[in-house]
Order: sequence, then C-alpha cells, then structure tokens
Amino acid sequence: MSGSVFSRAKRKLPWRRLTQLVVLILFILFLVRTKFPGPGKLISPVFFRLDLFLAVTSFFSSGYRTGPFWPLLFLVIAVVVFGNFFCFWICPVGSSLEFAGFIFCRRRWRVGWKLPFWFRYFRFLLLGLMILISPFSLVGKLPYLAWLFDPFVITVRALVFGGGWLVFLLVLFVFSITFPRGWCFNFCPLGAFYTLIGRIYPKPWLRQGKQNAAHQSERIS
Amino acid sequence: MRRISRREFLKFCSYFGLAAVLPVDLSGSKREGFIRPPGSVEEPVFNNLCYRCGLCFKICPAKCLKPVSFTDSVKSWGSPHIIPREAGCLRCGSCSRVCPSGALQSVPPEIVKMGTARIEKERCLVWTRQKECLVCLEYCPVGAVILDEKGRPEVDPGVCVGCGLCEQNCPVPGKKAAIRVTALGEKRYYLKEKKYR
Repeated sequence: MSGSVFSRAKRKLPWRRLTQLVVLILFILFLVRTKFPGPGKLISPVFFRLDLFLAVTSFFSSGYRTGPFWPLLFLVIAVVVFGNFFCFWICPVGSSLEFAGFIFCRRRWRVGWKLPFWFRYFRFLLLGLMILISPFSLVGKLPYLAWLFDPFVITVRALVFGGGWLVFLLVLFVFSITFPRGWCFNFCPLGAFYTLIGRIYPKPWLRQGKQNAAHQSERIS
Repeated sequence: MRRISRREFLKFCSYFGLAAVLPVDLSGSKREGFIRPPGSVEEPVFNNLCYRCGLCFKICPAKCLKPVSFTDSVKSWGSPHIIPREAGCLRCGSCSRVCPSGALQSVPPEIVKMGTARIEKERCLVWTRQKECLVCLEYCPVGAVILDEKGRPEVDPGVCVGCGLCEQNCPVPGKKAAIRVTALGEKRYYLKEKKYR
C-alpha cells in the first residue's frame, strides 16, 4: 500500500518543491516590496488573506469580517475538494522550515528519540482553544490572543521587529530541523484548521488511489 | 497530625493558583487612549480585529507606528499606535492599504483626525521665556497652530488632525515636548454604520 502512495508522492516531489520555492520567493518579495508607496491593496497582504485561522478567530472576537474574502473562499473550497494541500504546497513558513531542514539537517543533529504521536493532537487542541475563547473577547474582557500562534504573524513580526520574535522564529527553525516540520505537525493551528477542512468528506479519487495501493500490496504479499 | 500527601499538596496548589488567577482582569491596561493610525476602527473592535501582522509597521514611511507593549495594555498588546514624540504621522494612508484585517480602513487624508495637540504653556519656550521659537507652527501641515496677539502659539482644536509632527519637532529637550498630542477628539471608522466620525 505504502509503496504506491510513496511512489506517487515521489513523482510529485519536484513539482511540490518548485511550487514551494516559487511561493516562498513570492512571500519574501511581497514582504520586501511592502514599503512606501506600497503595492496594491490586495497584493501585499495576500498571504494573510489566505489565513483561515486569523480570519475565523478575529471574526468571532470582533463580530466583523471586512475586506475581500474570495481568496480565502477559493482556498477553502480547493482544500475541501483536494484535501489539505496548503501546508505542503502553499504555506511559505512550512516551505522555509522544510528547506531549512533540507539544507541544514545532518543526521548527527537529530536527537535519538521521536516525539510521541499524541503530541500531534496539540495543534488541534490549540486551534480549538483559540476558537473557543475568541467569542469571549467580543462579549467578555479576554484579550485577542490567536495572533500569537499564527505562523505568518510570527514570521512577519520576526522579520520586521527582530528581537524576541526573531529568537522565537529561530527556535521554531531549530525545532523543525531537529524534528522534521516539528512546528507544522505539532503546533501550527493554521495547518490544523486546513487539515480538519481537508477531511470534511472522503474524496472518491483519493479513496480509489488507496484501494489500488491496498490491492497492490495484497498482490505483493 | 495527618501528613499531607504529594497529590493533595499539588491539588491544593492548583486550586490556589486558579483562585489567584481567575479574578485577574486580563484586559487590564495601565494606559488608555492610544493614538491609533489613520482610519482605525472603533477601539474595542480594533483590538479584536487587528491581526498584529506587522505590515503597517513595515510600510510606514515615517516609522511612526510602534507596537503597544504588554505592560501598557494586555488587550491592545502588539497593535499599532503612534508615539508622536518619536515620529509624527504623514497621513499617507499606506498602513490602511496593506491592512489585511480591515482594522485600518482607507479614509481620505483630508478628513483624518487622530487626536488633538495641546500646548503645555509651562514648558513652551515662547510662553515661558518669550523666545522666538515657532517650530510647531512651521511643521504643522494643516495650519492648526496659530499665534495670539502677543505672538504666542495656540492650537485650533477644530483644525488640528493630531499627526504629531509638532510634538516630534518641538525643540524642548526631554521626553515631554511643550506641545503634546492626545487621542482627544479623534475620529474612528465605525464598521456598523460604515462612517468615519
């Protein structure tokens, strides 16, 4: 089963790497170009417009949703249809963590143990907690805290302000080099959101692929 | 006397910790009345709508936007505000152009009002020492600083937009200038009515 799935993933790998590289360059380019007089209203913050986590939590905590939301709508529909491709194809933070691991990771840097599997539920816990507490900012006195855990916010603030934010980003990088994509798999609430949406209904073509893979593995065994 | 077990001790500590933390008002702030960038939405909504993405800080040509610190206000922590003594606002509207959340709305620069300047007469060189200093008058982009019959500067609150260029360039040494901008009389964008008032 795994052989077929892995071979398909391996076939797509160059394309995935290329897409990641292009998106990462665009992300850096947009950030560098964000200076006076500035690009258009949509272009510069385009990655934040694809951030479902911030959009939902800020909507729940403020009661308002402003600005064009069609980029997000397109992305959500695409994730529902094709599964969560955002984290591994689009997300510039995930790409940079992956490239960092690709470039800097040496076997001797790896620790000898793996994170327990249940650790991966932490990101869903974080996502649920942030969504649950956001209405309390609207009706109560709780401050809006979701931004602290958003990968785009962490990255942009680290590059704009430096200091503590940069240290935080470097910690994420070191963590993600030690445990490949450790941030994405264990802590990222944005990725958790898209993962959940990607599982909304079973995709017939993915199911078909898995059945074929299972059939192949049966034949091999 | 019965000895307390470790489990009971930890339980007691957790209850005690909860009891200590729960009454704390997390929104509590030491400072109120932040001078927000042009086109900001009304204050409670602003704090909850702003993503704290940092793009407004990045694009600001005057570098007048600073993040609110945790110690100043937990509720506003990380959101942009203007410290006029460090840098005044040019009202270019770049911050509202890049804001992805809508916490900063595009408004024409002619109707922007972020606050009002006020002259502290006890610190002003003209008022106290009768010196010839009219820096605030020179820097004011809207002509809100006027002179009285004795040639001393006054601020017309109806004309002042609260950009803070006067405070930034005031030659009085120290952190406190002789002309200071507060959020008094500011205009905000009300999302419900879609009006800047």
